[in-house]
Amino acid sequence: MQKRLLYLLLLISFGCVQPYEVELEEGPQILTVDGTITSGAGPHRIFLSKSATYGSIFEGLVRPVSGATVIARDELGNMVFFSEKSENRGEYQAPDSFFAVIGRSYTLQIQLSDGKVYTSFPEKVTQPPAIKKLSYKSVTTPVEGEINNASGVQLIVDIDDPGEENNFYYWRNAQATYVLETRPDLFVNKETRDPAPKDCCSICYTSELVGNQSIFIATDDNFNGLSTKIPVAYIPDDGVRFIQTYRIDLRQLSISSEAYRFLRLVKQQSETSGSIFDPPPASIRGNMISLDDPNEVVLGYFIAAGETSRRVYIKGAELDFRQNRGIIPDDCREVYDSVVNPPADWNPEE
Amino acid sequence: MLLTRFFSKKNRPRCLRTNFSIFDPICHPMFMQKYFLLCAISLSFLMCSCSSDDSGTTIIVTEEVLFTSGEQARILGRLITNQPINASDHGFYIGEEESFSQPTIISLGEKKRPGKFVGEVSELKSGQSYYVKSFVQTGDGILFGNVLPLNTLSAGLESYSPSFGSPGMEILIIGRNFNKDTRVFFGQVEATVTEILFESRLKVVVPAIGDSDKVTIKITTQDQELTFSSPFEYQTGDYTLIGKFPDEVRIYDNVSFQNSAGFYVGLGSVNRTRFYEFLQRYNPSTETWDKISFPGSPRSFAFATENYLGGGIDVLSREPFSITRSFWKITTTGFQQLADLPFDSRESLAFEIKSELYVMGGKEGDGLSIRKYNPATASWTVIGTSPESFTSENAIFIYENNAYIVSKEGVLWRFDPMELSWDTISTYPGSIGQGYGIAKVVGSKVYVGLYRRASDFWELDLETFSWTSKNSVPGVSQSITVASFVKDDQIYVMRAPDITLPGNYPLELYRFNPSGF
Repeated sequence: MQKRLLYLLLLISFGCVQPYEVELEEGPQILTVDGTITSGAGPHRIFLSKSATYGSIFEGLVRPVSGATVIARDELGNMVFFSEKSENRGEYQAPDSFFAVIGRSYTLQIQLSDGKVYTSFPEKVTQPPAIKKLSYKSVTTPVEGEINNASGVQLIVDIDDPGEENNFYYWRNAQATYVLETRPDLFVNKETRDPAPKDCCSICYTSELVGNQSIFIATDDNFNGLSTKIPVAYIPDDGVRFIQTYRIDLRQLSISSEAYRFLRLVKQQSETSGSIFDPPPASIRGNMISLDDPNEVVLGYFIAAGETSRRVYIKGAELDFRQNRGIIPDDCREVYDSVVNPPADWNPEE
Repeated sequence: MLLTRFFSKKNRPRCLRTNFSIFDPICHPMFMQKYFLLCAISLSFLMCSCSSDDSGTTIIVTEEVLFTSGEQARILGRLITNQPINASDHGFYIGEEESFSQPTIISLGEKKRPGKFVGEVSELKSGQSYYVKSFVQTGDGILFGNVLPLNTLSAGLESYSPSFGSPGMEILIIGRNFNKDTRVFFGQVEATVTEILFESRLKVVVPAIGDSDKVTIKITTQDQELTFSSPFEYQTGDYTLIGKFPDEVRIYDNVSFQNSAGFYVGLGSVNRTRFYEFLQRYNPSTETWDKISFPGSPRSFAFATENYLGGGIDVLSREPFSITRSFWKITTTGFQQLADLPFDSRESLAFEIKSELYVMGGKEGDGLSIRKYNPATASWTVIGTSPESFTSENAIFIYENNAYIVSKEGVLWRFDPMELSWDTISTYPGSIGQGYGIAKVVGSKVYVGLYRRASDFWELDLETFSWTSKNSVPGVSQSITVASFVKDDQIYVMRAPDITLPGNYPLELYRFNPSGF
């Protein structure tokens, strides 16, 4: 009996796991620059932050860099000073009157509050080809473990690519506005849970900035000098957006080859699925450099681009597939940023 | 290494001369012979195949011109090497010719590791073409990188603000590529440059005024000379104290008007305790005062124009006020009583256009009615209403047969009495104080301000509707303007300390020259 007890005690003692403290060298917080200026109306914003560090546990947070002096300077020496938004630290915005001039090169200069100075490589603003046509179609995607497919609307541009130059395209979504339909007649008193239908209002107009789920970029290596159609945005269907009419402005940016390469690498790494065919992760170098220590790693990229934009009204009734209608049982004005009157330039028939 | 280990004493086969046997191949003499032969050949192959690579690769690259201004440039270089390096110096050569015959050398000192480096030079000539190349100095000699062109920039001007001011104040000049030697001139007078920010912003102290109140701002930087097309305007306006009210009293709620006989100031009350029953007339030519009797009852808060005087209160009391409706024609020899006003008037706004009297607003009645007096029929007609209630607290002036009134919020209204139309044309940028400001027209400009407890005075160009600040009136800042006149393009103002200020302050008469300095 005593022997068995001894074996048991031995087993228990071997069963204990001694935690192994991994002592990793704490990485520095790296300045991250994310900014774009274009020939469009703006707003032109530069976001500055310091990256988080990783150790044996997740340490630190991505912190905005506040109190910096941020300047965009063109090749003639003209400067525009970006001012930090008081309500959003780390976000610096150019004056409303500013826009980049096609044909000029711009550099971004940043002086942090600790005196460190950073600059970008010059980025030239090139003339963007016009968007000949902007069309749309519904797209469905199977979702693992779900009965219903996910769906959304894909935007497709028709462009005549100029043949005499190598073009690099980058598409971004601008502000969108759509007709929001709600059911105020289904309103329920939140305290008593009794029906309390409201008389108003079931139709509003709401605005949003819907980000793309991917980075939409293209180079004309395969269609230089030709007309082509390219998918340029994807707007997920949340059951509310496409009930009636959805309006979105698409921005087409003409970027440099270096900016394209940077975005392509970011896209590759952000879309890795964990398969053996994924590209190996690597450090993506941007176009920012520290003047105090040129070998310091600075993340991000400063893009200067020519911009053209096009507006499209997506009619929900024309889509091949839509999600089941989402019901908001309240006055539509209760939804954030919703108003009863349409924008002054609302014209679905244009 | 492996071979060394293989042939080490520990691994070597241990054979005795006596135990040679065909069953012991390792120790057989024939085998040993082949074994050593094979090893010798292998060793010779290995030694031949190894080639010592002592000459590593070192490359120096001039990567990018990161920044150029009028006199500065920053260049990025990179040292690439696959071997340890001990460079005694590295940096850049800059020259006006591609041959770098007389280079400026940016020496960054020792470099022991590969990587990027940034060089900066700040003694370049503006608007000049240069060439730049990186270099690294090692024990084997100097190694140069590729050559890049570099063009320094010329200075340029964008704007400056404010566009007017007085000596000692600071203005900001915005432009580009200002060098360290930048100088700024206001006309011929040099200003002090207190700071040059990012080669694009100049903080400059306005120098003393020279020969003119409108001067061109000139900037020199290296060999460049730049000027702004629009001149800087010095804040002008010269006040001369020319006299004092002849009676040693402080009067308030009085009237003032002028005609060919002189400037009139009077009636109202002395410190709101007793009426001042007279008028004092000032002759600007002789700089003398005359006391003028008023045949009517003394009064406060009356209205007065060049030709008419009327209304007001005839008993100093609180509300309800005792209103006098007596109405008088003013002549150069005296006063002529007219039929009484058909309405109560206290602190009404009165003006004449084309010899016709208009009375509007006031603090009695609806405050909005505009009444016009017909001297031929001695009758009054209500011709319309004003968009807001106006009283004598509002500054008013007449220009090209239109009345202009500054509201309590500073909005400048224009009233066309022919069309009976109102429109807003500008906003007074100065301090409204506590009302009771003045507005006096000189040529195509009007001077507005000198409100109660405010001393700023502004010029409005009636052709461009642009405002320019004038010098503030001297004296006690908590004063009120009790009279104002215009003669020979000069403005005369009489200021009295506010009634709340105790003490024995005199009423001072100033002559204001709008363009004086």
